[in-house]
Amino acid sequence: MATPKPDVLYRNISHHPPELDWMDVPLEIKPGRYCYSADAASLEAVGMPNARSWNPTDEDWKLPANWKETFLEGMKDRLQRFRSFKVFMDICVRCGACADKCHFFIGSGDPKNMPVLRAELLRSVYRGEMTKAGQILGRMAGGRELNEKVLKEIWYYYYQCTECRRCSVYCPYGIDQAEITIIGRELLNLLGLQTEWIGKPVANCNRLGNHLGLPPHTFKDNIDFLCDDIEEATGIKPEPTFNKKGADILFITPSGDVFAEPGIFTCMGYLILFHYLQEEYGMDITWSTYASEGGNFGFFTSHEMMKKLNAKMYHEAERLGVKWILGGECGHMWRVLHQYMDTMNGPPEFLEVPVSPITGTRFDHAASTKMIHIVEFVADLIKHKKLPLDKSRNDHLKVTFHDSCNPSRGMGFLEEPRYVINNVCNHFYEMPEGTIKEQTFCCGAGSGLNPGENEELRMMGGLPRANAVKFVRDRKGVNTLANVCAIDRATLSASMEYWVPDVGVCGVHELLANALILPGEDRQTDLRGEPLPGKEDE
Amino acid sequence: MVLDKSIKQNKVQILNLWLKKFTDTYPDESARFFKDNPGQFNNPVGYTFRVNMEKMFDELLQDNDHEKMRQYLDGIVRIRAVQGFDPATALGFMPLLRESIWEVCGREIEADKLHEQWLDLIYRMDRLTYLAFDIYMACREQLWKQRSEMFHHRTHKLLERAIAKNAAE
Repeated sequence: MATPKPDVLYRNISHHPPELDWMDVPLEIKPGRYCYSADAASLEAVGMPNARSWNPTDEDWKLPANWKETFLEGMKDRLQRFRSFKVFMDICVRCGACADKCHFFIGSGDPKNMPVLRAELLRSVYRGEMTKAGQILGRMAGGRELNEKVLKEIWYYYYQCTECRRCSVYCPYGIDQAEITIIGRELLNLLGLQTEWIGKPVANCNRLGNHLGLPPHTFKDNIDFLCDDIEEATGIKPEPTFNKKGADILFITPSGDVFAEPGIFTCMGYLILFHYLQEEYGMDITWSTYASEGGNFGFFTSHEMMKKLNAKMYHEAERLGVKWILGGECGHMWRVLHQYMDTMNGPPEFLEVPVSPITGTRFDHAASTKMIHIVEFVADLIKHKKLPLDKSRNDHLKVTFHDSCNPSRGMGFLEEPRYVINNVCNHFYEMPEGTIKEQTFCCGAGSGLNPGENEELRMMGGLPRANAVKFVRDRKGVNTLANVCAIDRATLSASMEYWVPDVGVCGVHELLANALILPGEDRQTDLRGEPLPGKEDE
Repeated sequence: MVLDKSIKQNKVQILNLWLKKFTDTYPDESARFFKDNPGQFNNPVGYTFRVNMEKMFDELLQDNDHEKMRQYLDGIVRIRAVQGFDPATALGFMPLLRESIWEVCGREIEADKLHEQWLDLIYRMDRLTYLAFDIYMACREQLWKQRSEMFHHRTHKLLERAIAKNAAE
């Protein structure tokens, strides 16, 4: 057969996708956009149903025989139990205000990543299977029958939503796609359609207290290593306490900060701060090797699992007899705490309303949850001039701040991080309006979408954020992207490497610890071993 | 050259046609969004395409500087490399420039017998396509590198510390 000429080949390439109704567009599960399925062992460990080995690219997903009935019954049950879900299934008028607000749609151009259409994947099943209009008129009423193709489509796209809630900010009805995704994933979990990067951390956290599955001695060892690193950088060695009964405060942070770069530098920041507060003011704070995880991947599994994992923190606080809990730089830990904890596990009567032992400030907004964010605790210390700070030590850094979705949109935590950064750095620059605070763009990998095998998805989702960082890099010379979330630190590092290669990523407490003056210290470098400004030749 | 001058005079028409053909490689809803939404921050894909396509167009008819072209192409190709296209489709926007110019200026090229200049322009555009392919491959390799580094980092710190601890004991 003659080899076709290039122009003939080129003419045969269609540059335009088929024009089909969205219900008829065939599902293509693309590599780089989905996360690997959960191992049977991960599901068995916490008693989740249909534990087995399966692969999303296989035709057969090994669903239980009664999968359709299970899914629809689960949906009916949740329509009864969650008023929000019922309302969100009924009230969307498809105005399109949310359509171009999702970072995954903006980056990928896949229409099914428009929040309205992502919700429609489930809403069409609700209409087709549960409303009279849908049952009689079918797709004329926007309804369709649940079948395996539909189920696979829901799975594929509900694990392409980071539950960041940016779309909800623009919805005139306040429809929260995150709530729909949460329920959608919960229904998928009834059939064992979990991903490993969520399933394994849930199993680990349930048994050992943290996502990584670090047993207590390893957790402690890791922190001891960080104390050695601090001694090398500052000449001072912190001596944190673990599981100390009767301590005033229990500190809980994401376990990612304890072992992975760049989170470890944030963790070193906490350790330096606590050392200073202990030495100067006698603050009595302890770490737990059992409640050793701030993150809560149960939040991406089911309401029941979220409640169970959240409860561990409070059980540990009760066991140790502390007065209140201080939480580290985490994302969804705060969303769970701020929006769900109080009605799931609270209020914890055995704890006290948090009061700073140093300034006497009473944090009444946490009167019910008894847990406050370390950044607001530190902002209060700075406001009362309790921390000696040398901002010039961060002069080599030109910093911008990424508002993590959960603390910013989830709990209105906007000014405190900026206040701390402005007090520890001389060069701080905001990214443009529309990309920060309530309208912040997601890092691209929250809600358990950060495993690595979905690298293309992470990069597409991270593009809007990276694009805004690039703008301040080009205009202001920004070289550091600060944030208050462990997932951000992991994800944005990769995202910056791909999109804006000369911008590094750090937590706010790394910046604070660089600036904090410790009595008796000997500092030539920052926590990463880079020479401090003015010490380059020493 | 006569042809370059003619192309410059039809710049707006050619660029609009090129952008339309390019964004038509996406489904209708996305094509509309990428093409029509002018926002630099709420439509980074469309904005990056538009700005870099215009810069490439201008540079092609001026100095055709390799480094500048690399920078402009990088903006576009870096996005296409993560969007799940096969390589031919991802880089298909380069032949679309040739198509657009021909559709706007083809009649004039035929009438004025500017085939030699047209051939020269095609060579210049072909070199850009090769450059785009280099960038595309570098992006894909970087994605794989990031993947492997992520798996490496996940265990590296723990191993490093386990080894240090063993040595200390």
